[in-house]
Amino acid sequence: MRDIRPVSSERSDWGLFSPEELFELMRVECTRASRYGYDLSCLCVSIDRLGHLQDLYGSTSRAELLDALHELLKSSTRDSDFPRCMVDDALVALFPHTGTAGALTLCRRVLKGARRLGFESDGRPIQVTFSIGVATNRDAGVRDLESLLQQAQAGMALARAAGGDRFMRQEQASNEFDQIRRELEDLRSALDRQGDVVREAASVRRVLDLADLPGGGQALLERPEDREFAARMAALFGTGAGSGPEAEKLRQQAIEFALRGIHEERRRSIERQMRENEGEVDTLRRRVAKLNSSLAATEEELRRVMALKDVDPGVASIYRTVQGLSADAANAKARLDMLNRIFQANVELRQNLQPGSVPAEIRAKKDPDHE
Amino acid sequence: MSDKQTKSAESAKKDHGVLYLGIDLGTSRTSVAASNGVRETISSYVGYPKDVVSRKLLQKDVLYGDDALAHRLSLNLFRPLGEGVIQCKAGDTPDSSQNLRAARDLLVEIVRRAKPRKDELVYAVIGVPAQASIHNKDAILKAAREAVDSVMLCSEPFSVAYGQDMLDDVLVIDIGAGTTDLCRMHGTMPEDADQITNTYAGDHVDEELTKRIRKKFPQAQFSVQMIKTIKEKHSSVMDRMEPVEVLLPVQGKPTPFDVTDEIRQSCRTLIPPIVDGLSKLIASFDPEFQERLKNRVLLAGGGSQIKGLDTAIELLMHERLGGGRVLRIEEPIYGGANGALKIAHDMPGEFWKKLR
Ligand SMILES: Nc1ncnc2c1ncn2[C@@H]1O[C@H](COP(=O)(O)OP(=O)(O)O)[C@@H](O)[C@H]1O
Repeated sequence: MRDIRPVSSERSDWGLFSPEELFELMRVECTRASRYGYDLSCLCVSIDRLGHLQDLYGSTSRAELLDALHELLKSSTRDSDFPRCMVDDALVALFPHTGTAGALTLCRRVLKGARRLGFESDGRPIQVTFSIGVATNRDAGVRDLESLLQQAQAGMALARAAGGDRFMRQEQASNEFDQIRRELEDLRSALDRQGDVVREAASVRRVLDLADLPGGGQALLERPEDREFAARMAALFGTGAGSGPEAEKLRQQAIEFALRGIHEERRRSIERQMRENEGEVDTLRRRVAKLNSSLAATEEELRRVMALKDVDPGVASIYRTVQGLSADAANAKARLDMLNRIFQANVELRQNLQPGSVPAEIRAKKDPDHE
Repeated sequence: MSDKQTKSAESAKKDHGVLYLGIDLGTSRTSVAASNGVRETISSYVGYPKDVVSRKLLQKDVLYGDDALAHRLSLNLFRPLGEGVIQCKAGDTPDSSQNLRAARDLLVEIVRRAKPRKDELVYAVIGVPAQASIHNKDAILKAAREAVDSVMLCSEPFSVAYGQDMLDDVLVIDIGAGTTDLCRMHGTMPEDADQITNTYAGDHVDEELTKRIRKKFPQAQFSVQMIKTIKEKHSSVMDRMEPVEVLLPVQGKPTPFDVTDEIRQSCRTLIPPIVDGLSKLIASFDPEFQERLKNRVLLAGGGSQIKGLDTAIELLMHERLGGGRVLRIEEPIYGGANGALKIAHDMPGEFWKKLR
């Protein structure tokens, strides 16, 4: 276990305490909460991509960012006199008389408040986001200040690992694993549903094949709804046409003909559906395969994240600024042209180099007569 | 259905179960930007423990980036993208296959750091140096296909420009460690005539700075790495820059030295060769669009972080070409990766499927 001790009180506008004294204050608060049995929560907050922001905008930015974070925390609570200190690059704060629900509300406020922080550099806005770990003195495994901090830090590590701009409780780690398992179930049942379509198609095709054999007309009557249809037809014939072997044969042929039509139609519709779903099935299969092969690895990964303190900083907010080709974009057409060219260049690259590895459908396109 | 409806339905569906990555495979750094918001960068080094003892000691089979560099003495160290290309010659010499393996491992690692969910398909656009040969693109492609589920390569300056939404008539200056690459883009894939490469880049500045400091302060002791660190911290070409005082040992005793002017002069050596190259690329362009091209110059790569470099290049362009406008991209480290991610994300889904 790494030693948890405050390393600085550089932003200590909350008094003239040394880091050690601050930590002692927190310990007192913690002991008092357990003695008198009231709720106490701990938030561990770090600034996402702090190192990166610092590289870009200089070391003053760190102090400014921490100041802003601090102000944000204060303005998000009723009592702004909560004990806090810096541990590494994270702000750790205790909130007496605050249970899980209250702590989570606080987290939401802080994340939302971050959106409104108006940092800029060179006139460009910079979006600052936080990763927050939450723990309370009611959590399983929390006995004292150290274990409380540790759980909050583990939560923060998870929040960062998940991309930042979020809060997490350590408990969520195991939930996450469960969620993966649930997703696997969902994927499997989605795949099953696709399988139903395939099975249906196979059965219809088989019926048609059988019907083509001499005396195979019986196969057309496999389904109850088809039998009912045939019976209705027979009844209809019965009212008008005469009797005798000729009429009987005619009736049989007409019914078979109609049934065959129904089956053909059914086959076409199912095959259309299958074609549409083919890509989907393929994607699903691949995802299931992938998920399957790494369920154990997930467990491993979670263990790793929990053990690691300095996991990679999250950067969730950034992607939002570079996302998505919208059809409305002014130059959407020009861009699509570009993308097409990149794609074609890649197709050619593969054609030139490894003829064997190019899917046939792509290679075929080179030959204009092919289609 | 209207075209628009199809598109939005498609893009809503497209995100499901797929993680898009933009990867910038550089000589000195490899960076990734992912559609889940993760961004990561590592130095382009891969190391394998030399023997059983080292492996026991390091407790790893492969080390990456600065971690690999730090333990280089106990490792077989590879820089798979040395010279901007995967170092493998025709034929399967043991060395070339090792390098290919290192390239693959580097890609696997950078993909891992993008934290795909376990069931997510990973579709990546990889920006490769514009001068990479066909042979090399093949090698990169081979390496990449083992690391991701679908992959496209794209010339690096192209992805930088795409990321800035500048699709046409734009000049990209990419200042890396070993080379500065100038690339002219006009809608199509850049050809040889659109590219000029010179070796006045990061390493050159390091050498210049070393020479100058050695000359002025012969008593100071320092290593290349120290010089590089000093450069990266204080680099500037501005007339009025903050004085830079660094501590360098003199016979073991840290002694302050003012290296302000040395830094400025060393960094400035990049400017004339860049403007030379720009002039050539502009002069040989369709005269009707030369003016436009001149005003759309993008400055990217690690070396673009030199303070005042954009303005300084503009100044010399004004002097020699009668005008010009240089735009420094906001995040030099992720410029290529961000652009590649944008391409990956914008790329129609059916293209991805066809290239699996
Ligand atoms: N702040 C900085 N100022 C000047 N040069 C820098 C700075 N940061 C990085 N560099 C230099 O940029 C070069 C690496 O650029 P990069 O684009 O990552 O390389 P490549 O494209 O070759 O992988 C190195 O020479 C490095 O020293």
